[in-house]
Amino acid sequence: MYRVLLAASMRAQGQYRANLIIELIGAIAYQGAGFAFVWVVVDRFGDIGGWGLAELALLYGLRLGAHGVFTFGFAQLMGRITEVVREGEFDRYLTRPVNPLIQLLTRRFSLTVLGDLVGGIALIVVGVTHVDVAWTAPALAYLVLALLGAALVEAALHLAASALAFRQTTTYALSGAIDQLLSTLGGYPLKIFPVSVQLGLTFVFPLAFIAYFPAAVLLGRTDELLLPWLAILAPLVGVLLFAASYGFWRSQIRHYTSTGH
Amino acid sequence: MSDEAVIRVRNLSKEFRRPRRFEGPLGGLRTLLTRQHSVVSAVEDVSFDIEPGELVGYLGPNGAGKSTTIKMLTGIMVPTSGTVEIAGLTPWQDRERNARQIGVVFGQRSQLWWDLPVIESFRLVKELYEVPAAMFDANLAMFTELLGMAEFLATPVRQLSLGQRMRADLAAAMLYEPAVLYLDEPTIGLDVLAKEAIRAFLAELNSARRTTIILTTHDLDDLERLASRLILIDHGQVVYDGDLATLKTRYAPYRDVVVQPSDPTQARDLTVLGTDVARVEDGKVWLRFNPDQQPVAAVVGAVLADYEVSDLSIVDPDLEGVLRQIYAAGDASGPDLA
Amino acid sequence: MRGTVLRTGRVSWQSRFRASVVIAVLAGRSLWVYRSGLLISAGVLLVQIFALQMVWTWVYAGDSVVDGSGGVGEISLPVQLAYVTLSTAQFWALNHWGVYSLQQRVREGRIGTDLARPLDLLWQVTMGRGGTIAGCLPFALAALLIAMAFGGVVAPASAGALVAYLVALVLATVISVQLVLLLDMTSFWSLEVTGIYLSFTLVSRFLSGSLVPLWFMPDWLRVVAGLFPFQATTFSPVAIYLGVLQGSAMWQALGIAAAWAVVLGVALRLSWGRVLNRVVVQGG
Repeated sequence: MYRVLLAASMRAQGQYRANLIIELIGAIAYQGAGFAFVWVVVDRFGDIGGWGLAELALLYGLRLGAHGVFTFGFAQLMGRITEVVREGEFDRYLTRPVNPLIQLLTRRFSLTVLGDLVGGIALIVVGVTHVDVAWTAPALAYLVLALLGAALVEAALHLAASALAFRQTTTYALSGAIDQLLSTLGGYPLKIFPVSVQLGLTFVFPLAFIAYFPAAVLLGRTDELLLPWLAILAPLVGVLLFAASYGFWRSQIRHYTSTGH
Repeated sequence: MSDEAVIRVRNLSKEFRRPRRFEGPLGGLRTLLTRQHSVVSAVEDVSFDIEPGELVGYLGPNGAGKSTTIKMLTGIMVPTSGTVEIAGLTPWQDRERNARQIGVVFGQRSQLWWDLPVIESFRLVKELYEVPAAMFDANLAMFTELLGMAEFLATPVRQLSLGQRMRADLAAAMLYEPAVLYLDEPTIGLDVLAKEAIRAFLAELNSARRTTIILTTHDLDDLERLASRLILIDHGQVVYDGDLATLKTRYAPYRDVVVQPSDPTQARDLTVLGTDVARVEDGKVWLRFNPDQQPVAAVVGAVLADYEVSDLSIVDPDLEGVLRQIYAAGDASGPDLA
Repeated sequence: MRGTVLRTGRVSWQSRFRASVVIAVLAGRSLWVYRSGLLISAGVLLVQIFALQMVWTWVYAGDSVVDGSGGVGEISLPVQLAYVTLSTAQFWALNHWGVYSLQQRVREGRIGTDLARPLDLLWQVTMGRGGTIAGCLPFALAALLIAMAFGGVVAPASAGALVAYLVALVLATVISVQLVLLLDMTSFWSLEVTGIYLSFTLVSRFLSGSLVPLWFMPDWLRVVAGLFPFQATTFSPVAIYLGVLQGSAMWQALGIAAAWAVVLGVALRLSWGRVLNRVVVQGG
């Protein structure tokens, strides 16, 4: 069913011919600002928290790539729920024999989402090729799993925020805030922050699982972590968080009161 | 209340808790801190059964709880209390299974995919509802002919006129042959021809296929033409449940004789024994009487005997007038506030 | 409202002034409607400030001062932290989304009604943008106060520096608005401009010095940044405030900013003429 609906959205997208290249470059550029900062600082100071440029590239690439995977599958979770509810579109989802979440995720399709993915993978490749790590098959497999798990973490956050829309709360600002926070904080090795902040970014706002933990594991830097065993499980945490978020989403649908008429 | 009812509604209620909002600069903060709520009862203890093949008009004034009830019947909203069974399924619990046996047409919002041609939307419906190819082809052919859609099957939905879009929506809802069809304002904003086409289609569905149809509408011609049964809801409660004729006799047990005397000045004083003057306007008098107590002929005869008349007609209470009366009476007695 | 279109077609300056103020106030109040979103955005601003402070504290790694390039001398940690705080807040206030957006109005086709109003449309959008910025100011100030409580802000280098800072700030606001308008005008040519918009955001954000102060950039990048008006919107004012740019360097920065304001103003007028032409001819 997911494939059927996604194909339909792709065909609908084909009706609008936008300048794809410009869009892609723009998307990459936007996300690239954060890494430009890292690059300039390293150029002047040598490293950040002991992480060199290549390692930081891997870290940032993981964050960006995860965001790319997230937007590919879940872009509609970023604040779109408000207009879907307001326009009565969600009512329609509830009368169809398909999971409403799947209908929400497939309602629109835009190729521009590939921008982040491309940028992220580019950075990962740069990082991978310049880092002093043996890239065995398990390591690469872990890298892929980490990407997917990280996308699920981000999806879990936005899904939970979207679920609040059923209680008539506007979630657009919240989704924007989540996106901004992940963008702002996602590119730094968290060890440079005070312990309280590190714990907060692990257990309150699970940013650490998106890029820092997997990167630390891959780079053999687990000794600088507070909880190394937790870091290795990052992809699994992504799955668990998403499952919890989905449960929350389903529970909130009961409170859906629908607008209009 | 029989065992065969396809729609079974018992003691259905829905309350909305609205947080009390405070005005003023610190209003937002006060709203957040003091969690006071006002409770609005949108639907209160509604019960009815609908047999397969019935065509029911579901009406009431705006804000009466019509859409709320329909949303609970279609599984969009979860009630505060009460039960609903559509062919044995509870809509909001078995949502996906229930979806296969109902069709829903919202007058305001289309279910079709906006950017794609109509026929593509139909094919998507076929995929989503897993309609067998033979059924799909047969229905498509029949609906295209009945609704005259051949000319715009290949047009993207966003380019359709309102009438075309409604017809396509209707067809899409019936492609998988649901047992129950819910219609919310299906003829709103349409021209006369389009309305006729849709009414004819609905009548055909109801008679030939025994599709149970719930029709929510403000268009009273729709009701007169199609509905065998009316359920009236006002202030969240069922006010009337029965057929159209009984509705009129119960709430409007009268007929009017409209008299236009040759001498307009007589209009103000014109009276006939046994009748009330309902209205005087434009030199015409509406004489209201109870046809059970006085035969029409007697009233007409009395008028003609006493007055010189240039025009005379006999008017039945129209549905609009009846409803207006009922709604006004409801407002007078006041809603129940929790 | 007194002041009507005279037979010569010119509107009196009093009514123009009044209309301008009305539009600015309207834009600010429309923004206030979304105050919960604005509050969340300000919250994110605070997080960004704190994050950057933590990063830079770590980067300094116990050194009390670091050499800055471009002849600015030594930059102490408090100064660097103050830079980060002020520049982030400033950038936030000047570039925040607003309810009144030219691009949005073009997209929604409401430009027609705007053109019919008795005030030059360019002024309308300028005032709209100004009102939005004014609406953001209280939140930016609140964020600064909170940051100050955690030691992120220092006093201005001198009274003269403060005055010069305010002048630079005015110029920064003007240039900021001009840049946004120039960008929005591309929406008259094509509605699908997200790519251009995002690229612009990166470039402007980075070269303005809101992420990294110019004194820590590699020489070639600093030179490049100097060629563009962006650094006048964030870097120059804050650097002046902190006394890092003083004396002749300060006057130079102010002069360059003023020059940019003039150049961009002319560019706006010229392209506006062409845009109006296109709108009228094509019917919007």
